[in-house]
Amino acid sequence: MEKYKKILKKRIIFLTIFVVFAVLLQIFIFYNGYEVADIESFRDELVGFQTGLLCSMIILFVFQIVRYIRAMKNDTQLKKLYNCENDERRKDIKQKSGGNVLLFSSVVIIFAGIISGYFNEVVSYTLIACAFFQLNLCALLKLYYSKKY
Amino acid sequence: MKTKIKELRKQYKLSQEELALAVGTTRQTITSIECGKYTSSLVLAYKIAKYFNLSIEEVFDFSEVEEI
Repeated sequence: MEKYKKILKKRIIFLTIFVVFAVLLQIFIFYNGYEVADIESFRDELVGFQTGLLCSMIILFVFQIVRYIRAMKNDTQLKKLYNCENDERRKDIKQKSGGNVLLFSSVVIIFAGIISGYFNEVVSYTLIACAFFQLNLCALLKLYYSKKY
Repeated sequence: MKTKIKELRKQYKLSQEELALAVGTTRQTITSIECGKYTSSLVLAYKIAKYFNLSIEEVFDFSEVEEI
């Protein structure tokens, strides 16, 4: 379990760095993003989308950090978390629903969507819609296989 | 696959959560194995059998597999 504790510590550090960076970016967008929105090619919706995405990621990561810290303080919780992450049934379900591949490609597509938003609105919305479709598909498959096994 | 896990748990007065924690899995996996929805790996089957001081054949019913 000591090895796993070290892994959790690394994860906490990584997530904290990301949260700090995201909060700083959020502050920057709040003060500067809407000024740029005056330019014709830049739309308010895009700033809104970025703000929403960042906020949800910050909330999600803070929740995860709290979860890890709580688990590290309690050995039973730590073992439960370890078992949960290394459970063979969960791994099977994840593999069958294409968890890792779909999640990774969706994240890449979302980032591509955000960047393309600065150049072409239609391409941006198409990419984001595509990513959300993939994520929904992944969730549905996960639900299906969770019921099946 | 049929198993005797439920009976053994009752005999030892164990909850699914306690057994799951002892053998390094989740409560949901134990539920699925007990219901016959999920066939556990050899490693997990060994861990469960060892926990009850029994052999794998005594805990898991392989008659369906043998028929095939």
